[in-house]
Amino acid sequence: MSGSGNGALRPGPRKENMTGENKKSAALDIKGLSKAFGEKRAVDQLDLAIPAGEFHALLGPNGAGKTTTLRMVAGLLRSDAGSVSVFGHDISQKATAAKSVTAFLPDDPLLYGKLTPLEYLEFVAGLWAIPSPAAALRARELLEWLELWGNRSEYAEGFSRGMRQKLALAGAMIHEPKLMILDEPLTGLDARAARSVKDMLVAYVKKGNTVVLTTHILEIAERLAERISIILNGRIVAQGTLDELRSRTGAAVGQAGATLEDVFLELTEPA
Amino acid sequence: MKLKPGTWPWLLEHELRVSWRGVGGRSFCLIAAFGSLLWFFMHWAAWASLPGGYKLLRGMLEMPVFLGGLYWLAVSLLVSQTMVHAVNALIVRGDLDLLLSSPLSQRSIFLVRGFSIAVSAGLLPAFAALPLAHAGLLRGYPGFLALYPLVIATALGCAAAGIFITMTLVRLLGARRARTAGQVLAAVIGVVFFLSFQLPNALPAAARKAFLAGLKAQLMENGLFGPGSPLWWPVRAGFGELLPLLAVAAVGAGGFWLSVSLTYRRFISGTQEAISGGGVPAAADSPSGPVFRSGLVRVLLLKEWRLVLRDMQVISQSLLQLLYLVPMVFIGFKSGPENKFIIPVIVAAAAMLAGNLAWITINAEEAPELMATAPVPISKVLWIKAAAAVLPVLALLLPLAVWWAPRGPLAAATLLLCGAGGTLSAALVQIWSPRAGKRGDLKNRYKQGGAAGVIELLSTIGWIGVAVCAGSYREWLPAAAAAPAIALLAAWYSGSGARAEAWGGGLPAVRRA
Repeated sequence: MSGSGNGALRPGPRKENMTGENKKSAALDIKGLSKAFGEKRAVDQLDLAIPAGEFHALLGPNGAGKTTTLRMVAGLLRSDAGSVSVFGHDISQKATAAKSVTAFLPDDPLLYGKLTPLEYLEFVAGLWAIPSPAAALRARELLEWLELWGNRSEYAEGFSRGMRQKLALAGAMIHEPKLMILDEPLTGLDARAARSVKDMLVAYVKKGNTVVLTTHILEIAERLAERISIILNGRIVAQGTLDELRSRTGAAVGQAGATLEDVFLELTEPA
Repeated sequence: MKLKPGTWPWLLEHELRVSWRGVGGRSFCLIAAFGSLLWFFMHWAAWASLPGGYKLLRGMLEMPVFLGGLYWLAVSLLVSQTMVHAVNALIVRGDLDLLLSSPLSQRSIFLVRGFSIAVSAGLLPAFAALPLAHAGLLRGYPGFLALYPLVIATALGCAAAGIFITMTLVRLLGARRARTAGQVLAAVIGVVFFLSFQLPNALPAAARKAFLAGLKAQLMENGLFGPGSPLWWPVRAGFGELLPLLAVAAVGAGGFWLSVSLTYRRFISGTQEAISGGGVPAAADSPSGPVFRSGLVRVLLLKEWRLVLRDMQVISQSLLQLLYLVPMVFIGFKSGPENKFIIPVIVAAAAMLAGNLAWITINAEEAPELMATAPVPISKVLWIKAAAAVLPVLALLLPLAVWWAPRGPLAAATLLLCGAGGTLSAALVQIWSPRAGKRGDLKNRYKQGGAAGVIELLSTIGWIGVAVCAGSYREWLPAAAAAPAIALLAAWYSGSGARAEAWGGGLPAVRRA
C-alpha cells in the first residue's frame, strides 16, 4: 500500500496526544528529513514530533528507514534535507547542546572489549562531563540494578550478548539524558534481561524523560509505547495510540480485538 | 582432476585453497612473473658458479658456522612463521568444529592441517635452495639433490615446532591468551637474532674480548660447536652425506608425526573447551566502591592507553619497533651524541611506532558512534587521540635528549626536533587521511590504507633524511625537509573526501551493512 490518498493513514494531529502537564515542549522535532543512498531514498520528507515525557515506538518493515532516521537524529549521519531539533536545539547547529541531553543506543552495543564495566562507565561519564563522584555512585547503582555488579572487574569481551546490551544501556543512562533513542534494544536478551531493561525504560519515562525506540517485537510496542509511528519507504504512514491505529485501518481489523500485529501487517502490506 | 570429496587429499586441497585465498589478481601475476624470472636467474647463477663454487662451499664444511648459522637463522624465522599459521589454523579460523563433526577421520584432519602449515613454511626455502640442486645435477654434483629431502624435512620440523609451541601455550594459558602470546613469541623469535648480535656490544670491553675468545674456542675442532657437531648436520645433509641426511629426515618427519599426534590427542581431550573460554578478570576496585576520574583529556588518554596496553595483538605487532627502539636509546646513552648513525635509526623507529599507535587510536576506534554522539567536538577528540599515540614515544626519547644536551646540544636538538616531527607527522597523516580499520588489521594497515600508507612512509623517510642531513650533509637539509611537508600536504588533499565523510558522523567507522 502506498499511503497516498488515504487520509486515515496520515500522522494524527499532535495536540490530541499531548496529555499531562509536562508534555508541552517537543523532545524531538523532525521536519522534512530526507536521506538518499545513491538512487535509494532511505528517508523521504519525514516529519515526526515527539512531546517530552512520551514513550514512542517506531515500527516498520526491514529497510523502511527506521535506523537511518535514528542515526540522523543522534548526529551520526548527515541529512540531505530537513531539520532535527532536540529540546529546541538544532542538531546541526547546536550539536553539543543537543547531544548533551541525548543518549543513543544502537542495535550493536558500543563497547570496548578490553575495558571493564566500571572503566567503560567512567569513560562515558567523562565524555558527558559528569562530575566523577556522582558518576561513580550512579555507576554502582546501575550495575547493581542490571545485575552486572558481580562482573564489574571482567573485560567486556567475555560478555554475552545480553550482558553487552545491558552494559551499553548503563552507559546510556549514566549521564541521565532527557531523550533516549534506542535501536532494537531487546535483541538477543533473555526473558529476565529483557524484563529488567523494560522496567528500567518504563521507570525512566515515569520520571518525565522521553524514549524513542525501534523494535521488531510488536508486543513491546503494544505494551509499553504511548504512541506508535509506522514508517514505510522512509515516510511515516500512520501515527497514534494503539486504539487510534486500530480505528484507522480497514474494517477487517479495525476493531477492538485486533492486535498491533494485524494493524501493522495491514498498514505495511506491499502494494 | 577433481579429488574425491571426503578423502584426505581432497581436504588438503581445500586447506591449501583456503590458506591461499585472497592471493591473486594482477599483483599476484606480477609477483609470479617476477618470481619465475628470479628463479630462472638463480638457476643460471648456480649453474655458472658451481664448478669453482663447489670447492668453496665444500671448504666451508671445515668451519660450518657460517652455513649452519644461516640455516638456523632460517629455521628460527620459519618457526615464527609456522606459529602464526598454527595460531590461525588451530584457534582463530574456528572451522575445526565443523571438520571434527564430519565423518572424516580426526587424525587425518590434524595431519592435513599440519601438512598445509608445512607446505606454506617450505615454499621459501625451496625457492632459495632448489636451484642449487638442479644445477648440481647438470654439473655433475648429484649430491645436492639431497637439498630436496632437506627442505622437506626442515619444513616438517618447523611446522612441528610451531604447532607444538602453540599447543603448549594453549594448554598453559588457555586459547585466548595463547593466541596473543603466540603472536608475541613469533615476533620475538624473529628479533632475537638482531638482539643477540647486539649483545657483545653491550658488554664492557674486557668481557667482550673474553666472550668472543670463548666462542671461538667452542667453534674449534674439539669445541662444543666444532665441525663435527650434530648442530651442523643439516649443512652436511645438504651436501648429500648419508648419515646426517637420514638423521635430519628422521627428526623432521618424526617430529612432525609426534607433534600432530600429540595435538590430536590434546584436542580431543578437551583443548577445544579451553578455546571457548570466558572473560579475563581484571584488577578489583577499592573496598569503598569505585573511584572515577573526570575530565575529557584525562579519561580519553586513560582509555586509549588501557586499550593499547591490554591488546597483546597491538603490542606484539608494535614490538618490532619497540625492540629496535629501546636498545638504540640505550646505545645512544652509552655512545654519546657523536654517533651519527643513531639519530636516524631512533627517528625511524619512533615515527613507525607512533604511526602504529595513532592508527590504533584514531582509525581503529572500537566505538566511533559513542564518540560521535557525545557532546564533545570531534576535532578535540582527534587531537587527544593523537597525543595518546605521540606522548609515550616522545617520553622514550626525552631522557636521551636531556642526557646529550650538555655535550652535544645540536644532536639533542636534532633528536628532539626530528623525533617530535616524525611522530607528529605520522599521527597527522592518520587524522587528515582517515580510513577506518579493525584493531586486528594493524599488521596489514599499509596494504589496506591506500594512499595514506605511502604518504606516512614518505613523511617518515623525510624525517630520517632531515636527521641524516642535520648531522652530515647540511646542504641537503632543505630538500630533506621538503619530503615531510609534501607528505603532509598530500595527506591533507588526498584525505579531504574521507575526512568529510568520517568527521561528518564522527570518527572513521567500519561501514555497517
